[in-house]
Formats: sequence, structure tokens, C-alpha cells
Amino acid sequence: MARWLERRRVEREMAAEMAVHIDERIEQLMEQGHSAEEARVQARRQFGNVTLQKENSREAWGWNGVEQLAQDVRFGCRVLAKTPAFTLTAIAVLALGIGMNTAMFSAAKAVLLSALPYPEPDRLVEVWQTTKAGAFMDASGPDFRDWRDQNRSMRLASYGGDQVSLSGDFAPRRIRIGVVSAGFFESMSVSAAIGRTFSRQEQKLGAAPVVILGYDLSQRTFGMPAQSIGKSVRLDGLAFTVIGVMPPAFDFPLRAQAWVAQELFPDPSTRSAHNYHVVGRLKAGVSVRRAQEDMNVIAARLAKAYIDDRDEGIKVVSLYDEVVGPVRPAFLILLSAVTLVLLIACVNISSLHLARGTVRAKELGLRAALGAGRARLIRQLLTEAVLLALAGGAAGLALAVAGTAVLRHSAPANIPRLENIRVDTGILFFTAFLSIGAGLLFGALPAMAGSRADVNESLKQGSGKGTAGPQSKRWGNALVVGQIGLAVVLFAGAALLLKSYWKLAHVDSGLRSSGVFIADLSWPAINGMSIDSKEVLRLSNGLLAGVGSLPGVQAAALVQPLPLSGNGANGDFEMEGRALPADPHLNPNAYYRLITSQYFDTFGIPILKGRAFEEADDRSPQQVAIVNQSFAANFFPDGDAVGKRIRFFGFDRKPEFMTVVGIVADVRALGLDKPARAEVFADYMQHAAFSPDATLVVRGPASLQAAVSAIIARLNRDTPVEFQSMDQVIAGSIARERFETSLLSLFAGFALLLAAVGIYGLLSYTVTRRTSELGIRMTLGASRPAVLWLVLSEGGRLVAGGLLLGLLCASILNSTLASLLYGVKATDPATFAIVALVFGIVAMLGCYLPARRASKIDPNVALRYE
Amino acid sequence: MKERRDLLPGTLEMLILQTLKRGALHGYAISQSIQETSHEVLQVEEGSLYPALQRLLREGWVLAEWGTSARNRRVRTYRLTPAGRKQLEREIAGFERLLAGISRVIRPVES
Repeated sequence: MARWLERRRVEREMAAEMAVHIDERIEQLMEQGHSAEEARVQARRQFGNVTLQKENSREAWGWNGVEQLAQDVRFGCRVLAKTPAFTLTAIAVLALGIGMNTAMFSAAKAVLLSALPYPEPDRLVEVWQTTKAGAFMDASGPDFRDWRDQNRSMRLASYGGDQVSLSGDFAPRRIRIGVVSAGFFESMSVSAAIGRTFSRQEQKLGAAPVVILGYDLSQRTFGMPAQSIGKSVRLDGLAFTVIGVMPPAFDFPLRAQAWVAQELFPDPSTRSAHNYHVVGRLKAGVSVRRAQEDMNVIAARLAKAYIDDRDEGIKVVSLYDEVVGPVRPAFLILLSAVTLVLLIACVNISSLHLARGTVRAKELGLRAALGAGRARLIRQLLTEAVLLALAGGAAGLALAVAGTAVLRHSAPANIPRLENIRVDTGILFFTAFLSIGAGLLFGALPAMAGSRADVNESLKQGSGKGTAGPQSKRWGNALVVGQIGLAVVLFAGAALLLKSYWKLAHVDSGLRSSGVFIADLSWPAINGMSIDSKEVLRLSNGLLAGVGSLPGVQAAALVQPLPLSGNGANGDFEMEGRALPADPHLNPNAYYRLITSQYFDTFGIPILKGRAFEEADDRSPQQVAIVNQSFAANFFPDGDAVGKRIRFFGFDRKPEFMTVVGIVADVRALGLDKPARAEVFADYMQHAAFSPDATLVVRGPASLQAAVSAIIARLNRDTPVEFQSMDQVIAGSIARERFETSLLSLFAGFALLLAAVGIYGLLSYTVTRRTSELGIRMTLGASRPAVLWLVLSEGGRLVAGGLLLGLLCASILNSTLASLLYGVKATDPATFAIVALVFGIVAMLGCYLPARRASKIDPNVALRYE
Repeated sequence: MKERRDLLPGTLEMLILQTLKRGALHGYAISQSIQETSHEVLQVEEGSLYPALQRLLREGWVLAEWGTSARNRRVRTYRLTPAGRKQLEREIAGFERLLAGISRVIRPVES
């Protein structure tokens, strides 16, 4: 305040001083014989610019900064408000650009940047057994125990996941459980929020079953998490006592909702049964690499000692890489793409600004004439740009909040942690920073160009429109070419992903999936424990009979596992009459699936040879199998598979030979992007004890789902049912590809639009500026088509330049996309051709509108305009 | 239009200090004095005197006090301070070095 008073005084004094100076000069001039009027003019001229001198004096005291900024902001607001069309366009473009970036960055922050929600997450690792080829496998029980006991670098625990039915004095539901070994919670360094985790006595074969619930599940089931302690619940029909509730955020592994002890279940104890994931916590100060070296020694020792471990290795991977690794490449590509979008938006506004800057040349020239220095003009123009960007950023933030909500709800299940996405303070700073950066970026060029305004030129009356120097014209062209180039890169990338996705979605899976609905079932008996195969048979038969008799059902079957559900099981087998290889790694191996008789009818899979299972098989002691085409071609190339006998080692308690009774067409059961593998179908009814889990598949109208539910409830009230259409299951299997493709397409579409607007803006402006020239041409006899062509060809050159640049960059950059593509090469010429065509058409449309306007110019009006 | 020579940056301050060496003056008198003593060669835009005076005030090289002019107007007169005197010497020394350098370039000693 004191400073302000001081400043007011100094300014008052200086104004008085200057006034006296001029008065004295006038008096002196009048004494020399000038008239009063002359003297006044002369004195003013000699004194110079009063306002500027005052400003300079203020500068001498260092008062200018804040004052000028406030002035610039006020003036900037006024200028922007005076051209609402430009301002709103620019804000909309920026809002979309910044909004997309903010939303995408929020997603990247949730997925890539945030630490895993466990104490000291850097020390957590996942340990895998590896094949000779380097593929990762789960560890076998005995191998895991050797690793755990022999390593010196970490504390290991094993775990698995499963889906089971939870029931009790409440509506039954399907839940995901973690089946975890001793030391699991210690390795994760997480303890129960309420109650406790497992004790030693509870981690034994035959111990009384206890369960730990997830926070959300206990809340949903019992209202208050604390009330769940000591309650009894049934998992797949077996009674468990609740002993603890985990903290709210804890859902490892695989979004588990409850945990049971692995030791409750018998372990096959062979080194060839790879059943367990392994997680470990590194000892303090031990690096992943040290741990890896440690495990290499153990792997070598085991390989020497056990034939099953020959040629197998061990791989230590940080848990972060394990969780995030698979989605990182796609996210980095999407992040780069969205950054490119913002860059294009900036270039776009820059070129709009540049064109407008030239229209404003007169204003800027006037300001320069009144004494504004170049730095001052640049500052003014930059202030305007940043103001614009901040407004765009604010609108963008609103868009981003909406966008993150959409992302959260459309998050495919196989993108980890995307459900945690939110706009927090970090994101706010990011957006603010981004906005100011964008403002400076798109403001810089027009500011430099605009501030160079030639005072004489811009103030000359006749030039009417204020001329753009050849330099600013060149800049404008470069901006448009760059804009098109960048947009083409994005567009080409999106086109490749789209083509890839289209191919994937239209791949012939071999299943006629439409018109089929499914429900996962888990008959009450937990895997490996208290299996009552008679009960499973009774329930399964009752279910199929009941569903089959519903009017409208064409076929119904049970299958385990459901194709394209992400689950697959494979095993080694032998063929009767053929010797097994000496090396067990070379054993024949095939995927297997348990089905009931109408499975092939339900999915419309053609039977190529032999027959499907029949009800007579279900009760026959003679075990039967059906193989797919790949299996037959692989193992019985002479076409004589039917009638042969095979035996899987891992089937049932006492595996028996199964007679092949039929050959069916291949199905891409492992994933739409993966070719069909050799596969064997066994009769579910003959192996009911093997798997109490199954998926019911029904070909019939979805309106029957309620009736199916009623049938299941009648058979067993503890079995929850949730329906899905088979098409949904298949869509779910490519959800991530759809997610990536739709995002990139959205970005590319926006980029295309921006590029078209960019070239439209530039040409419109050119046409306006050249109105009189075009008028003269027309007066001199140029036809309307000739003028149309003149403008079109100018635009065409820019479009062609941009296309060429873009396609060149795309052919280099798109190789980074290769890992995301299915059935399309990153340099697919057809795609590039289509991109060029579409882009050319859209961009030329942007050229055509101003060109047509040019050809409609009335020469009379145009010339009078001068 | 008569060609106007801009002063070298910083020279205006030096000229003001030099002018004030002969005694306290107010703004108008300072500009008159510079023009007259330079025989109208140095055309100072009169207004630019005032920002320069503010700079000198701020550095403490001149002091200002209100008084009355020859034509009986209330004016502010400026007086050189000891620090200003030292600054003037420094500036003159620097300026002479500069001039000497320039003249050696323009009229090289022929050998």
C-alpha cells in the first residue's frame, strides 16, 4: 500500500513536470514568433510520446511487470470476446485436445504410474518356471517347495485363483477366491483388517476349513465386516468359518474376494503338474537380478536331479512388470497418439491465429506506431494465447472428468487397475501445465510473426486487408502441411488397428455363437475335496433334462472349460500301441475339454467323421473321446484316428484309455487371434468326478433364462447362476483390442477433422485476402472454373505435401504398432492407400468450400472493395 | 524529414550528469543546455529526459527538489550527488575508451 501511494505521488509529480516542460517550450517558441497553435504542435513533437515516456519511467522503477500483465489480460479478454467465432472454435479445439490428454494421462497414471497397493511394492516379484523355449509356466508343487527352501534372496509363497459359489443364509453368488500357501500374507506384507489370517494349524490337509473374506464381500454379505467373524459360509457347498477380513483395497491375486489355504487340498506332488503361481518378497537390499542369479543356481541343480525339470529354467519378474507389462506398449502408443492430437490442435490454432494475426496487422501496426516495443507486442499476443489455452484447459478438464467416468465404466477386465482412474490434484497440475504449455506453443509463432508488423505497410490506407508478408504465408503453409502430416500418421495408425480389429472380430472361430447363452455353474463340491460324483451326475442330468424339455431350446450341453473364456487345460497323453519318447518333455500333448452329448449341436460344430457322444456312452464303462481336425492331422496323419485309443496322464484318479469315436472341425478355442490347437473332447458324464465346475450352454431364446434359473434352484439352492450370451463372452475376449482401437480411432478422427478445419481456415483466409487479385483476374477474362482451380491447386499442393510427409512418417513410426496388430502388416499398402484416399477427399473438401467462394466473386464488387 | 540521430544507449544519462556538474537545473533547462552546447547536433527527444532522470534518481546519482523556474513556474530541480560525480567520471572514461577504439578502426594508423 505504501508502495502504491509512493508510486501515485511520483507519477503525479512527473506528469506535472512534463507539463511544465511543454509549457516552457511553447512560451519560448511563441517568443521566437510562432503562433500559439504552431508552438503547441512544435512543442509536442519535440517532446515526443508522453504516455510512452511515462511508461518508461515506470519501468525505471520496475513497476511495469504486474501492471502490464493485468493490462494484457484485460485487453486479451476484450479482443477474444470481440471475435466469438474464433474464440469459441479455438476453445472447443483446445478443450477436446486437452480433455483427451488429461483423460488419457489419468488412465496412464492409474495403470502405469501408480505403485502397487502393497507395502514396499518394489520388493515384490513373481517367479515362473520356464520351458526350454522361454515360455512361462506355473510351478509344480515339489519344485515350488524346493525354491522356497533353497533360495537365499526372497520369501516365496504360492497361490492360485478359482471361481466358486458362496452360499449361506443369503442369496448365493459366484465369487473369485485366492487359494494361497503358507507365507502368502507375510510375503505381501498385508495383514487382516479385522480378525486374523491363517494359523499353522489351519494350513494342513484335513484341517477345519476357514476363510478370509475381502472387505467389500463381507460388507455386502453381512452388512458390517466385523460381524462376519465366526460366521459359517459355504464355498461350493463345503462349510468354512470366517476368521478374518482383509483391508478394503486388497484383492490380490486376480481380484480375489476371499482367500482359503492351499494346504487344505491335496497336491499331485509330481514335478510335471504345473499348478501354482509363485509370488515373493525380496530380502532388503536384494535386487531382482541377484534373485535371478540365485534361482539360476537352483534351476541348474533341479534340472540335474529330476528328469521333469530337465531343460527348465526359473524366471524372476518384478510384480509391477508382471501386472503392467502386458498393457504398457498399448498405453505408450495411446499416450503418444493423444499427445500428437494436442500437437495438431496447437498447430491448428496456431495457423488460425496466424491468419487472424495478419488481419490484426493494422491494430498491431497502430500499437507499434504508438510506441509499443516488439517484446511488448509478443507479450500481448502470448498472453492472449495463454488465456485462450487456459479457457480451453478448464473446459478440457470438465471433458476429462466425463471421459474418465466413461473409461472407468468401459474398462475391459484385462486392463489392470484402470478402474482406479480418477482426476486428482496431480492431474489438475498436469492440465494447468499442459494448457499453459499449449498456449505458449501455439502462441509463439503468430506472436513472432505478428509483432514483426511493419508500421508503414500496415497503416497504409489502400492495402485494405493488411497484407501477410511472404514470410507469414510460408509459416502458414508449413503449419498446414505439418498438421496434415501429423494427422495422417495418427490416421494411418488407427486405420491399421481398425483393420486388425475388424479381422479379429470377423475371424471364423468355428463356433456358431449367436443364439447361444451360457451360465457358469459350480456344483456344491469343492475341487479335489468331498466330491460326490453320483450327486454331480444327478444334478447334471437333471439340469440337462429340464432345460432340454423347455419349449424353444434347440440344444443344451455342459462344457468345461468354455471355449474363448480365457481358460484352457492341456496335458500329456499316450496313444495305445505307440512307445512313449524317453524324454518326458517330448510326450504328445493336447488341449482337452469335457462336454456332454449335445455340445456340437449347440455350437453348430460340424462332425467330420464318426459320431458325437450319446447318452448310452454316459453309463458305459467304455470311455470315449472325440478329437478335432488338428489333432487327427497331427497324430494320425493317415486319417485313421477313429477307433484308436488314447490316455491322458492327468485324467481322473486312475486314467483309462479312451476310444476315439469321432472327428470334429477345428475351433479357435484359445483366442480369436490364436490358431486352433490339437484338442480332445471327453464325455463330462464319464468324468463327472473330475470337475464339479461346468458351463451350461443353451441354444435357444434368452427369454428362457428365468426358467433355467428356476430349474437350477430346484436342483440345488446353493448354486448361483448368472447368464451371458456367448457373443458377449467372445466380445469380452477381444475387449482390450476394442478398447485400444476405439480410443485410437477417436483420436485419429479428431485429428482428421482438425486437419480439414486447418486447411479450410488457411484457404478461406487466402481467398479473402486475394479477393481483389481474383477480381482482376476475372475482369481480365479468367473463367470461374479457372479461379476455382487456382485456389484448389494451391490447397492441393499443401494436402499432397502433408500426405506425403505423413505417410513417410507413418511407415516408419507404425512399426511400433506391430505388437498390437493381428493379420495386418504395419506397412499394409492397402491401408495406406485408403488412408491417403480418405484423407485426400476430406482435405480437398476443406479446400473446395473456399475455392467455390473464390469462384463466386463478383469482379465489380471485388474491385470496388479496394 | 530531418534525419535524427539516436544517442548511443546510456549516453543520455551521461550527458545529463555532465550538464548537472555545472549546477542544479530543472528538466527543461537540462534539455535546452544539451541542445545548445552540442550546437543542435544531439537531438534529444525531450520527453525521454524524464525516464532517464527517474533512473538516475533511483540509482542515487542525482537529487531532486521543488523550486521555482526563471519564468516563475513550480519546477523540480536536479542536483548531482557525490556518487553521481563518480559515476560521471567512470562513464566518461569508458566513453573515451570506446571513442578511441572506434576512431582507430575508422582511421587506422597507416604504416
